[in-house]
Amino acid sequence: MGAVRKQSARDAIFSSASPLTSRGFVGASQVSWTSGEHLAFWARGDGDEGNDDDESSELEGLSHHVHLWTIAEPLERSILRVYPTQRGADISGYIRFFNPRGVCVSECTIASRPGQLVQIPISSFLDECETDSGLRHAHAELVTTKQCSAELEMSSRTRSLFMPALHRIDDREPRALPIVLSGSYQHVFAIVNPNDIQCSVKCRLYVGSRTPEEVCLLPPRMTVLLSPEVLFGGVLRELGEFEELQAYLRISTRSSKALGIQMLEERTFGGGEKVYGVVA
Amino acid sequence: MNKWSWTAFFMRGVGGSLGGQASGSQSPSSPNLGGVNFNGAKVYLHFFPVANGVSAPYPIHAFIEIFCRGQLLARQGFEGLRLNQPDGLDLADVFPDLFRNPTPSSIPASREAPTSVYGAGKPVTTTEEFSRYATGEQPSSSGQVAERKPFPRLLEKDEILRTERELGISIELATTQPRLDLSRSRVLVEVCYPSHRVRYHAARASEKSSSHEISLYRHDGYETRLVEVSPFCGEPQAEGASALSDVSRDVRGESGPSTSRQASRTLRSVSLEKRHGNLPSGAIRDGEFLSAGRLPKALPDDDGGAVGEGSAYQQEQVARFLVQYEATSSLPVSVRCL
Repeated sequence: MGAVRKQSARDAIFSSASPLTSRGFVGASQVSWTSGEHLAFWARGDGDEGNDDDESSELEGLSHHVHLWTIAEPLERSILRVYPTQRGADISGYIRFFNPRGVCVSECTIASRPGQLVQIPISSFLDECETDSGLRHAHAELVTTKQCSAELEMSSRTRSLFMPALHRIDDREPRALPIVLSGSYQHVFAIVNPNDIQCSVKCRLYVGSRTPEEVCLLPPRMTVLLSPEVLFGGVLRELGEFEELQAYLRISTRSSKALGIQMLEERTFGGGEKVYGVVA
Repeated sequence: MNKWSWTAFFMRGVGGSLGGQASGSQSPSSPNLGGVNFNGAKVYLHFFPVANGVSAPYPIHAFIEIFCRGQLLARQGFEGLRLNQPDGLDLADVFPDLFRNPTPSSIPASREAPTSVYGAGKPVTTTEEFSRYATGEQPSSSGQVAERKPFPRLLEKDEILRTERELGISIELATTQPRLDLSRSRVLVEVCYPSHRVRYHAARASEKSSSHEISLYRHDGYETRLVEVSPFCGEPQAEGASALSDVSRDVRGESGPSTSRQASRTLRSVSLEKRHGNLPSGAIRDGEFLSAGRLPKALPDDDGGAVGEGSAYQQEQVARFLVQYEATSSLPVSVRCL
């Protein structure tokens, strides 16, 4: 982890962001989910290194984890917001950013007064992430002593969008997200494996009466980007000319360890303007 | 028939109950992305019924109710969904009268089969099935099904459709298979504007809110609204019915005795800017330091207190969403289930 970039306080909007001693990867054991939708949970076994506020945890020995997919490019501005889920609560913890290969490239501590949120422009945290499929992106893990949530506000020239934490999938919870197949739309699915074991996901496209399927391997800790337009390009070409088709991408796994997914939709208008969309 | 419920809402376009600030035109700073009337927003519902450990494509039934101000505006039942297979529909095909300007000829609620579906499959309207389900009555020997509750008076429905921008949706997925657990199924709402799409997951009826809206509230150029949706609850509620009815009466602007039925099928949209005040960054109010950044601390509720902690409006049946509207276009850019 020698390459870990320790964020200095002046890099962040919020003055309490400060350098942090490098840590290992996730490795925490989930205790209970705190969201019915997202990859957010109480965990035991992580957050006990160098976290001065452990004694103040709401639950003894537990830390709250939220996993997000963060993007710096091609969007013009990306701000990560962390907020307490309970009225008047404070925030104390840290954020780690992992490049697509699962290497921690930067991290910082965060803290806030009761009732306040933390805002961090993330571009500088992703400096050491390579561009992948036109995106400079990272998997972010937020670890706090109290239950928090987070979202990423991403702004293009046209408008902003708000991306919540990763949606959770495991062997009991497959996901299917709607996509619009069209020449003006492009989709990227980020699949994050925050675990120390390799997992596989099954991606099935539902378009008309066709249901082509591909299996993708997810090495430990890695983030994989999938584009249904590329993954199922052969099938889509067989469909011939079409203006716009509604389809679904179903993603499932046999892994009992939870994975995270999120979709980024890029729509290009005639004038070259781009608008992005996610699923909240 | 085992059933699981989800609650959501949708925005038919700009204008209406937002207070007249919105119009169909775009601001000069907003690019002309198609130059169309924003009131023509499309709303899609996407279903993904799943059951743990079951891979067979069992048939799934879906029932949709659209409501507002305690009134049922439309309802429809469908079959054709299959377990483990995503599918969806365009609400404008199912409820065309909700998506056009109300005229005398369009006011009667549609009880006909939808003209088309949106998605991979083709759900089939089963009005009779839905009616039996909704009423809990068995069909008579002649096959006729009694209507439990008529649609609202035409004038009232016209008024709702003319003034209300946001309408509540109650979605139920049901199966005749006794061992299927559909609780992990997903229902996704997609509001499609010519300029962008907003997608969010509907709230499971039994899930409690995990976040307080004040935690997310900030002054950032968006109009932030808290939308609380109380779907049809069925039987009179044992607890909280009175308070809920009071809220419902507030929304309706009515007085007089209320019933538990009034408490259901309501949608309340509150501007957090009005609720918590339009304070500048770092402002101080009532002796409290509000924020070094942009987030003010919660202030005492000043418009009925329906959303405050301990309020009956935070009962399990109420789904709460935080919506951020773009100031320039008055269009929503984000919906978050709290």
